[in-house]
Amino acid sequence: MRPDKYLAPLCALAFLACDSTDELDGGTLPPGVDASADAGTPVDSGPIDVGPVFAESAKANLRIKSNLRLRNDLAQALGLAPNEVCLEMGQYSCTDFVHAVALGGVEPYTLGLNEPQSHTTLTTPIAVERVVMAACTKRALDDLGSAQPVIWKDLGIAADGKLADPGTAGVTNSITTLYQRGLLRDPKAREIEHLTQLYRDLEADGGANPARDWAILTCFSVLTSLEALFY
Amino acid sequence: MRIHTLGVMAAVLAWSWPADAKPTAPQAFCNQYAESPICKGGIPACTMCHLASPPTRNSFGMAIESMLLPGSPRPLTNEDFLGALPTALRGIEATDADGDGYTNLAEILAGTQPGAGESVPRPIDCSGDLGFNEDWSVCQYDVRLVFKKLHLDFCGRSPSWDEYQTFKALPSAQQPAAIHAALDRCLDSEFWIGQDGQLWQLAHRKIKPLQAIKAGDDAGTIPLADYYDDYGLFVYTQMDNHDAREVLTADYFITRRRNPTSYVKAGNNDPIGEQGVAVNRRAGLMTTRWNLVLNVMFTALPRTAAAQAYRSFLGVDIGKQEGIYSVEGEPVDYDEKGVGSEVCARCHATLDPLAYPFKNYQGLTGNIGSYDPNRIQDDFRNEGANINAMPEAGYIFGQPVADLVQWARVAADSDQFAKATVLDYWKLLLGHEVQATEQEEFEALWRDLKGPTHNYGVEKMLHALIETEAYGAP
Repeated sequence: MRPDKYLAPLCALAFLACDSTDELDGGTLPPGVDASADAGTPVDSGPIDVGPVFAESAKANLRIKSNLRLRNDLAQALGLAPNEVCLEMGQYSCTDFVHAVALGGVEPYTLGLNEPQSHTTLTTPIAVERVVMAACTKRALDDLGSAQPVIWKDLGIAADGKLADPGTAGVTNSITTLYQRGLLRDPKAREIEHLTQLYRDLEADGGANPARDWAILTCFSVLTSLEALFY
Repeated sequence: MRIHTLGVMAAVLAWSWPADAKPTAPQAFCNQYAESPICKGGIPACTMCHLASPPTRNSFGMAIESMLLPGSPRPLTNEDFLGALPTALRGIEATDADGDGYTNLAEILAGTQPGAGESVPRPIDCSGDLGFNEDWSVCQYDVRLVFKKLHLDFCGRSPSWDEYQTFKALPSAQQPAAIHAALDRCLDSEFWIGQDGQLWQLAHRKIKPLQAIKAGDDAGTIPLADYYDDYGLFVYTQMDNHDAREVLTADYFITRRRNPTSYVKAGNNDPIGEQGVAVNRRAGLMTTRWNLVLNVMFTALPRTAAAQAYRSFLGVDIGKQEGIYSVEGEPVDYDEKGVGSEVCARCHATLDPLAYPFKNYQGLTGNIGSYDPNRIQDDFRNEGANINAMPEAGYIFGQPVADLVQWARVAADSDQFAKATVLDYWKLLLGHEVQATEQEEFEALWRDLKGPTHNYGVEKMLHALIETEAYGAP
């Protein structure tokens, strides 16, 4: 099965208010889309507030951000230089070279690939996640050791690597900054709630650095959303 | 290696359409349904009646076939086929060949495919209660969407949070101007005009670079020609509202400067990559050293060069039976390749006269990449008994031309050139071919490109393109 077979219909969802998957599940999905497919572990948060019926785009002509657009948007959102976003073996650009074709780029000079592939490839999702994870990791590690963080500021991390209180303004403000820089909008209350719940789940798993891991995975989850990857 | 390549090329050129495919059918279809959106954007592809490629027919093709002179022996002659086609088409208008619930006529008039069940008329209904969407105006042009989208398309990045907030805070009457100002900034960005930028990407399939034989900067192991000259010329014609037709008619070359990137006409002291064609014989990208090396190579009659130019700049692919304008008495088959046989002649009656004007341009023979009026007699005397009689005059779109410079003029002034130019950008920016509901906007764009509104300025056309519903409605 080609990823685009289900990605393409799901593109329409990016024009809905993409604040949570359960809200989408409660709304209207395009025909043939299995709402439970690839949706991750359901959040047990009680009855779902579906809200008003969302107007959907009849055209749903969304396009995935190609390699350089993905690189540039990650760089802009995370305050990185484009050549810092993702390097394989610390040397070779993921977006410009190693995964360029899988990410919708071309290689005309040596491979004769003069135009991008018309569809995403089997390795596109893997490459996208690889790139976003690298960028998010770089931003989190830099921020948590910096006096002038870009995204992750005033989190209140204790010596044991845990957040002193996931409900502080520092946590909320960091999430807000991430949404504004990455999605050009403010997070909705439900989204903040889900992401703080993510921290609690991570801490419950017993990892050594739950606050650091949470920063990385929060960034990853937001910047690999359909809303972030398609335009 | 080179011999192998030539062998493949010869095989491709000698290959021809099966006897029951009709290269003239698409034009005949449009003669009958000129009002169909399919015909306003060009002529139908083979897939209108066939599966991936002829001769296998789809359901619509089979329906036509059943109505074409039933009982007459197959294959039909071209004359019989064309004579019977209008009646056959009318005879199946009320039926539904692909069983998708829409009659063939309804699909033809809507611009969808009557032989493909998944292609159905899909009017966008914006009446009634559409529901709530705080992020987008899902059924109309949305300036917020366009502001974001144009940054990604032309600048290669989303607007920053601050840029977006500033834009949203503008009075609505000022937002369109802000959109166009943003587009102007992006049209000068490295992402758009720089090396490997979007304009270079548009040029790749026209130039078909091959690093192994590149000369000049970043030279390959067998340096034969420098395609950076070609990219420079292409980009120059597409930027700053220069005349886009000069991609085919330019008699000059371009110097590219970097950091930041700019393109200027080359002066006498600017290096250009051993361009050997005299100024009065130049025809834009068709006569660069790179194009001649790559597409003329060792051939007496450079059919590949002609077909590549036809496809790249005019959007018509003879290999797909597009752009067929058979010339009476052709092909003569001066180089004795056997193209006079009936099945070959259907395409070669167009292709060979299309290629004659290239005959004096040296590829990898003689003085590489030059114009030589004695090229055939000096370098190809053994190619056929009549090879020296091959004319330089030829035909394009059924119109006689004396040489390649005139060929380029006719091509550049044609509707096909304007359509192909706009279609390149349409596909780059929208990611798909022109849909039935978009035909009207597409037609307005290419007609304005030709006319005084845009006067062949691509950037003016792009400013109009981002104002279309096709681009700006989510």
